[in-house]
Amino acid sequence: MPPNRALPALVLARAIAAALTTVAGVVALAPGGVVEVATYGPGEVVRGVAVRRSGATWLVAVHVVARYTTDLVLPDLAERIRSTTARVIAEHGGPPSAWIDVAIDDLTLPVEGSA
Amino acid sequence: MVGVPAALRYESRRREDHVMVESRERQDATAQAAPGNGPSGQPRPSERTTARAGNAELVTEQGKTTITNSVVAKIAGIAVREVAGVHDLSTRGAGGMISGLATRVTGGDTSSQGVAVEVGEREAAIDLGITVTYGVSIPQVADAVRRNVMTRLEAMTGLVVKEVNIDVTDLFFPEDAARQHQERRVE
Repeated sequence: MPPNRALPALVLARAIAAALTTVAGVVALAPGGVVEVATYGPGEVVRGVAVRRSGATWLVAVHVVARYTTDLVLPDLAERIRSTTARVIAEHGGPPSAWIDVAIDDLTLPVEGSA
Repeated sequence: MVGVPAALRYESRRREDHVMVESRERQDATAQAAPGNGPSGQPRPSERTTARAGNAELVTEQGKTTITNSVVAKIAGIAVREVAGVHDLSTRGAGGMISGLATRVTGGDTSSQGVAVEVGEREAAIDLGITVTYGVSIPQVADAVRRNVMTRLEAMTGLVVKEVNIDVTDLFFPEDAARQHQERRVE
């Protein structure tokens, strides 16, 4: 499938954000730190997913909050996030070689005080 | 995952009024964790790590993965509290300094107080301030803390933990806490 040049970044960001919330281990998208990670459009902001185009390729950054479990493996979670993002990009006719940065910004903890 | 070293070598020395129990025992483990081994045991030959912005970064062919220091600190903090004999992480003294650093990173979250994280390349160094329950063997508890922090961080983040420096800043007396609790109820 040729790259869909008309694909708006906002549409893609919205689809990625929706898909990531279904990934096991992801609690929420994270808005980033000092610099907000988001994709902007008219009357709408998708926080936690930054999509921008650089020539023929897409540069995507996703920031998430992960759920702490005793069998947590963050690099594997990051790979699941990356492959989910890549799948969404492919489904929307994006280039197969998109650069996808994944950041685990925070963890939600198990109930405190039990230890 | 890299195994826990069979024996940890201690260097005990006085620094100010604290006895620092340190471990510098990761040369072998670092050699085992050659770039060919991915964090989850699968070979990922194209990966390399950098430490821009001070966070753990893993660069793959399709993009980089960042694990922020606050995440590393939280995992370390949980691992510390899991060990029996540890009362809590420090909030004052030498730990207070560490705590301030961690709090800046995490934005006021107390789960990683007493934990300072330094990440470089694929390695991490962890500084901890802890309080222990009176009566336990401090070297044994420190050893258990060190092993648990290393095991958890290596399994969960893929980082090779090069050193875990533990500062035991105070003792916890269970009877005192019970009495204080009693007094508070009276007031």
